[in-house]
Amino acid sequence: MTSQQDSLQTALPPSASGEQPGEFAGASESQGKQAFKRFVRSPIPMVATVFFVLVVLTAFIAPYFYRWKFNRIDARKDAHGHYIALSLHPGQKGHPLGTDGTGFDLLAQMMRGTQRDVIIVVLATVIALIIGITIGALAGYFGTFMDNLLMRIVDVMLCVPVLVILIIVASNYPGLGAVGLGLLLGLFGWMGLSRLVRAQFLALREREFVEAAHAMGASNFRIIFRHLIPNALSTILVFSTLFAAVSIIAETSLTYLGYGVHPPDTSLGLLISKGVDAAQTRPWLFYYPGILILLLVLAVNLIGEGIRNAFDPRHNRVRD
Amino acid sequence: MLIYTVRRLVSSLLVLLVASFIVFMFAAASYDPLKPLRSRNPPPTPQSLKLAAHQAHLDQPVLTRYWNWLRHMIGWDGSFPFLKLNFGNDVHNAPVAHNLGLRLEVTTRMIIGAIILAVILAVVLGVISGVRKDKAFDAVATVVTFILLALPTFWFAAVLKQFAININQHAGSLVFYTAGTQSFGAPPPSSFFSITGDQLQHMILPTVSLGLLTASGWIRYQRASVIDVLDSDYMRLARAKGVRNRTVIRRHGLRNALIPLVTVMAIDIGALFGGAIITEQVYDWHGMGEYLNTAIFNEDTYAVAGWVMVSAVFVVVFNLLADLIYAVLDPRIRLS
Repeated sequence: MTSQQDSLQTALPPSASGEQPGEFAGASESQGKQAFKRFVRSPIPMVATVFFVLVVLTAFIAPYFYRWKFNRIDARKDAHGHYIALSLHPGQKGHPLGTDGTGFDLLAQMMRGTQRDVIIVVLATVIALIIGITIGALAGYFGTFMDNLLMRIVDVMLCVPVLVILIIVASNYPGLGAVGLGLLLGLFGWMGLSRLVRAQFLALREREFVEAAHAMGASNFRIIFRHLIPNALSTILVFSTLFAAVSIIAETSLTYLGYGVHPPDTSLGLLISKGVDAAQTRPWLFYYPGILILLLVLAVNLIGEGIRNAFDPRHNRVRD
Repeated sequence: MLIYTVRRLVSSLLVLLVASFIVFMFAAASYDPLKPLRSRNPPPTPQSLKLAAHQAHLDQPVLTRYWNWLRHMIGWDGSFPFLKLNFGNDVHNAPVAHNLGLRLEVTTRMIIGAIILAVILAVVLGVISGVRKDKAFDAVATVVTFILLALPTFWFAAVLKQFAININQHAGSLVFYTAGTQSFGAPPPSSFFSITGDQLQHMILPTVSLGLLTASGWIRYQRASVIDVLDSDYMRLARAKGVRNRTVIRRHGLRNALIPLVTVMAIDIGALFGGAIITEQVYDWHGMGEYLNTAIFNEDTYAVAGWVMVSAVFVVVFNLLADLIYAVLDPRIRLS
């Protein structure tokens, strides 16, 4: 941050930044830094963060050291010298989580699936953030005509259930894959954020520090990026985590309906979609990937909750 | 209030109009309803292809087709019912509106059941959690809602189904119905709006699975809303006046804390619709989801366009209702 903005921020009365005076020792620190400190000190979100990072790192690094590959069938010679694919329970013949009906190692597939889901989620979130913030900022900052036009576009996009839009568009591109799915989820996932950002900007642009920046000759671009977006940071961060969680679930739904990731590639959604049929006969194929998704989404949601509380300590205050 | 209602009504209709244009253009551009015919072997003659194209109005310019489609949909010739809601015919030359109506009835049954269950859970659990914030009940409810929030829709539905199948096997009799909307050969309900006991039994599992997932978000929201209201100045004033805590919460707290849920319900109706499509698939319900899948597979322009318009009307009507109910319940909204 520039010294110019620092001075503006400290010039604000403490109540304007939504915090109570004297509650924090480092009152001159930026809101973001304080929130980060509070986040690191809260146990549950930190556990969730560590778990999430560990799972993602494992998914990306461990496949290089793991003996089975996600796309290699474990087929061995039987007594007659014929190759047969092995369908194994967890723990049998060096497959810690067993194999599926074709002979693919489940753990290797789950790691690959997590990789693909991470790619999908990151792509989707980044795209949704870029579009959502841009549209929301334009609508909220410039107002009147621009606001009306953009918000009616959002209204139109929101009037059809998102999953239906995704199904119809995805069905037009059969070979979509993980990257395409991520793009798609992002392109049709920004509407909620744009409304949130717009509402924040409408409130923020009337505040004194924006007026001061105007008076000092700052351009619209500078005001939006230097003054308004940092102040809407908590909204944006909380939306990102919620959206990431929703994206994972949307990926499983789309893949289940047959419009997402296809074999030979795999994703967590594809694994549980295939596992549904085996729920009675090979329950591990159905339950292990499902529980992994559950834990990942849970972790992301808890991180989001942690960020929300870190930015808004009043939210957490014990009621008197 | 009247002006507000009219303004919201007009803007809703405009949104639907624009949406109908985009939807129709998209469906017309990306689908080829003659594909099933073309892929026949031996191939049909050029004449029959031309005739089929003519019957499906494919030989007309796309704007004309859109206009005709729109005209039949909201057609007005003075006879009852005034809105025709005629979405044209699908690739098998069956009326889209009629089939969609049958499917919508099935899906709506699941959605309404899920909404009722979710609202009851949201109000009961949300209010108790909010009032007893950070107590044992709240902690348990929070853990459960967070887990529900993280569950993939169809995985949860399938887990419930497996659970029910296991119970059936242990009991040795059919305790839960895990597939279909009614038993094979069961007598149909006496009228469109009535429902048989057999259908109700088939509804249990889909409703619970969709309703619990929907409720998870609403419980969180209701809890936050209660906490917000309990923290407000008028509650403090009421307590300061010496009113009993229980009375304060009932008289001043709940009335205000329940209002915001209406908005969230309206926003979530689209998500509910999506969730219903997936839940249907798991429980073998022949509802909207199956129709959409078939229509997309057949590259059926009119069926897909009609389907999307029905879902759009559903969403818009719910949002409109929610806005109006909110305006009635909370007079401040009308002033802004």
